[in-house]
Amino acid sequence: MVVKQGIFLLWMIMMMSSELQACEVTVQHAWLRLPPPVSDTAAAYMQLNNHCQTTKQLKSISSPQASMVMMHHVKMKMMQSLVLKPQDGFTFQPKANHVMLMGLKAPIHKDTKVTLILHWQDGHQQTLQLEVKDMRGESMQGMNM
Amino acid sequence: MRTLMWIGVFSLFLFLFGMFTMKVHKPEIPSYLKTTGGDFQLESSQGTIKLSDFHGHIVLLYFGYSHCPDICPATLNVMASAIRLLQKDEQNDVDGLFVSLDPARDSPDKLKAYTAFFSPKIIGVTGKREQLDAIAQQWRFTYVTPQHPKTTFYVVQHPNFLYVLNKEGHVVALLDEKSTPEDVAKVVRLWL
Ligand SMILES: [Cu+2]
Repeated sequence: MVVKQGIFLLWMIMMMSSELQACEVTVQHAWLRLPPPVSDTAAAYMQLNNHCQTTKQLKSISSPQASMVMMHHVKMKMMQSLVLKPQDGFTFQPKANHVMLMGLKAPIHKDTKVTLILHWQDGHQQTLQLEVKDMRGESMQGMNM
Repeated sequence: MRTLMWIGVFSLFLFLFGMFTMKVHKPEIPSYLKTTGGDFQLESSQGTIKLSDFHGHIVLLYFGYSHCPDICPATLNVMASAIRLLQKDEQNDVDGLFVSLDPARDSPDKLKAYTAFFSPKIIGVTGKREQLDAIAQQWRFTYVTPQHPKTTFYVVQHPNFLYVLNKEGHVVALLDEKSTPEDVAKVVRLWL
């Protein structure tokens, strides 16, 4: 009986920990500002929300399309990492926090597939496809970002 | 009847006089801007350009660099859209000027291609570090371009505001990054 209970408890713990492991920060509105063809830098934006029960830490971001990706605050101040407590959110948006892609390997067009990989502290890698948006002629006012 | 007619004539006269003075008299330049600015000479893809070459035109002036991914494209879009909001004849009297504070990576030819993406009305210029330092002092802003960067992936600290210059080349307004194309067009119209 005790053995049976013990196995059940163990199973519970395993289920719970795998549950915690599997919970992923949600990413919405992930997009990239179409850069001028001569430019080898671009900015990406997104909305992150941690609906998990544990704190998540975003260590770094990479992209197959860029030599280097950085997280920047306003005025281009580098962010070493991003800590999201449970129920915390964070927004990268124009003229504010942004994800900066440097050393683009090829010019980006409207239909280029741009991928970002979020590297989380727990070893999890989260892959995102970015929508490339041409912002010319867009008044920044009232845009949903 | 006669009195009514005179009142009519008089108010028409007042109205026309008002229209006339509104057209002729420009708003006051805020005093804190009176000591900001001055002529400069920088390189474009078409050769040397002086700020005073733009006399007779309203100039929208921004200091940045082409590797700036967020605020510079956003501001250049605002600048381009503001110009597009104006009537064709008004547009002829307005120019955008983008000064790169990163001459090591921004050649005049590269700047031409960069600004053309946003608007044919925006001209890209740059110059030697000493020239840019002198301009920063005259124009009362600070910037930081690394002297000996370890990689080519460096960041330049530059001002975030847009200068509006009247037809005499004097700074008449400083607009921050929250300004919309409508805000910019409104200020430009005051000085046209
Ligand atoms: Cu940045």
